[in-house]
Amino acid sequence: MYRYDEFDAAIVRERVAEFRDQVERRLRGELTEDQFKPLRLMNGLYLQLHAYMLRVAIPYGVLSSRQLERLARIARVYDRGYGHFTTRQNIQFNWPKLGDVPRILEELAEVEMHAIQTSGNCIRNVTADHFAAAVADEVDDPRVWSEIIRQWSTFHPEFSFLPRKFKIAVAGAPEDRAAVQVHDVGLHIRRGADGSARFVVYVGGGQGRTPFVAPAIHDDLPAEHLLSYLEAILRVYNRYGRRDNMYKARIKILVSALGIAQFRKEVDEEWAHLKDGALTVPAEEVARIRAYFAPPPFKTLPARSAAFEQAKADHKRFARWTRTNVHPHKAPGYAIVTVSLKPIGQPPGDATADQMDAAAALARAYSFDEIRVTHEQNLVLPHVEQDQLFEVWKALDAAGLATPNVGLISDIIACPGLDYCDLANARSISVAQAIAETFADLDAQEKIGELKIKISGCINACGHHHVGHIGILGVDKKGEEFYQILLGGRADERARLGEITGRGLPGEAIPDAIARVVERYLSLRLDERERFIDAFERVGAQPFEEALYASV
Amino acid sequence: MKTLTANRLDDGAVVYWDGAGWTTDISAAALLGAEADGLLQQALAAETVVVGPYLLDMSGPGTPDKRVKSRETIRANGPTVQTEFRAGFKTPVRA
Repeated sequence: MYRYDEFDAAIVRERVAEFRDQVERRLRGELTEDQFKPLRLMNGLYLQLHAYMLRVAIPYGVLSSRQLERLARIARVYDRGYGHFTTRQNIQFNWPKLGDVPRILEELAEVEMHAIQTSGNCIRNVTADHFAAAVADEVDDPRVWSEIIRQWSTFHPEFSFLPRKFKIAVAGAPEDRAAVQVHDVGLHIRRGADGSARFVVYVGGGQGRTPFVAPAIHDDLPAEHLLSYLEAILRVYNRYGRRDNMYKARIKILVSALGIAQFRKEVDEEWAHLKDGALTVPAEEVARIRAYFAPPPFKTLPARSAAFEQAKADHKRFARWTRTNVHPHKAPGYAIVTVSLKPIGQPPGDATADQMDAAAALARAYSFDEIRVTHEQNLVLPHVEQDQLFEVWKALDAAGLATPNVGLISDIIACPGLDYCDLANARSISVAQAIAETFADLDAQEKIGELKIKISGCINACGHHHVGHIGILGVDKKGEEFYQILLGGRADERARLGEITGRGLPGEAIPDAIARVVERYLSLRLDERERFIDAFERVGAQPFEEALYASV
Repeated sequence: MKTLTANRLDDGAVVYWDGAGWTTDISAAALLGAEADGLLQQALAAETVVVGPYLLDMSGPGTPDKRVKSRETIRANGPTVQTEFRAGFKTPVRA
C-alpha cells in the first residue's frame, strides 16, 4: 500500500489544524454560516437532514486493517456505531458533532486518511477497480496510476475552483468494474502494440439529471503522458465549462455541446503546450510508486485446494457463498472474497463498528492486511488462500457479513435517500430493503442470476440508477414518494443508459412491479446462462415494460 | 400556518421554534402567523445557534403540510430505517 511521505503527512496535518481553528471560530460566532460552509465542505463535512455528515476519502477504495479499525473506532466513539460505504468507495458518518470533527480528522490523519476533496468543485477522490492486482487478466495495476493522479490532483492550485466537481475512475483489466464510462474522465488501461500499458481515455460521462456514456477522446495514450493529457482536459474544461448554471456545469455538458471531435481538438491544442514538459511522468517515479504496490508474498500453492473442495462438499451454506462471493485469483491457490454489505433487510453499504473490526481482523490474518471498498458498496478481501476460505467464511458469517448474494438481485446499490440526505426527494434504503425481502429466498435469487438493481433518491443519481439493469429513481409528487423505473442500463465495459419506462409508481408497488419484471425475464430467457441484461438486449424493453405495469 | 425550523449548529439536529427557544419536538413547535417572516429574518441574521432556518407550512399542530409531508415527517422523526438511531429524536431538548 502507499504510505504517506513527509509532504503528504505535513499537508494533512496542517489542514487539520486549520480546520480546528475554523470550527472553533464558527462555534464562537466569529465566522458566519456563509463564511463557514465552504470551509467545512472543503473538509468533507456536509449538513444533512438530521445531522452533520462527514465523508472520508478512501483513495481508490484501498484500506489497511489499521485504517479500517480506525474507521470503526470513529464510528463507535464519535458517531452512532456504524458507517456507510458509498458508490464512490468512500465512507460517510451520519451523526458527527461539529465540535468533534477536528478530533476525528486528527484521528484519521494518524492513519494517513483525510476528508480533503470529498466535496466541492475540485478533483474528487479517484476510484478504481476493486479487484486491482488480484485478477489474472489485468493489464496494469490501476492503484499505481490512481495514486499518481491523487498526488497530481491533491490541492492542485489551478483546479481547486472548477465549474463543478470532477470524478476520475481507473480500470486496469478488460472487464470494467469501475464504471469508467460514466465518469467525468474514465481511464481504461489496455496493452499497446509494443506490450506497454496505454490508456483509453473517456471524457464527459456521468449520471445526474443529464446522463451520458462518455465518448473516448484518446484510445492509445502512452502512460508517461497521462498527467499532461489530464491537465489539458482540465484546462479546457476550466476555461469553457459553464459557471452560469450549475445544472450545465459538468464537463459532460461541455463535451456534448462541442461534440467530441471539437473537444478533442481543443484538448490537443492545449496538450501541445504541455506534452513532454514537466508533467511527463518519469519512469523512475512510476517505479517508486509501483514499489508501494508490490505483490504480497504469495505462497506457491497448487491451483486446486483439496481442503476447499472438501469444505464445499461438507457445508452447503459455505458452498453457496463460494458460488457468489468468491472470485478466481491470479495466484494459484488463492481467491478473492467479496464481503457482502447487503444482508437482507439492512441498509445497503452500512457496516457497524464491530463488522469493520471483524473485516479488518480477517484482512490482517488472511489477506495480507488489505481491504478494498467496491463502488457497489461491498468490501473485498483481495488475496485469500483457498485453504483458508472456510475459516474466513465462518468468521464472516458470525459477524453477519456472509450474505451469499454478490451480483444477485438483493446486492442492491442505494444512496442514503430521504432517510438521511438533504437533497433527496424520496427514500432509497427502504425500497432496497423491501425488494431484498421480496427476493429473500436464496435459491430463487440464484435461479434469477446476475441482476443489478440501483436506486437513487433524487435526480443526482448517487445510487447509479441510470446504469442499473433495473434502475429506480425516487421523485416527489406533492409530498408523496413515487418511483420511476429504468430498464436495461449497465455500468461495465459495454456501458449503456437505462431506458425510462412510463409513469412512476408509489413505493409500496415497487417490489411487486420488480417481481413481475423478473418473472417475465425468467419466462423468456433462452436458458440459465442468459442473464437479465442479455435477455433485455435481445428482446428490448417492451416485454419488461408490459410486465411492469401489468396489474397497476 | 407556519412554523420556523432549522438545524442546530453544534450537532445539526432538527429544531423548531417553540415561541421562546428551540425544541427538537415538532409537536411543541409554535404555529406562527404574521410574525413568521420577522422571526425568520432574525434567525437568518444571526445563525449562531441554528443554521439554515426556514418557514415550514403546517396543516395543524405537529403536522407538516401534505405537500412537504414525506420530507418533513422524516426530518421531524428521524430515519425510517435504523430506528434504533431515532431514540435521540424523541426526547425534546432545548438548544
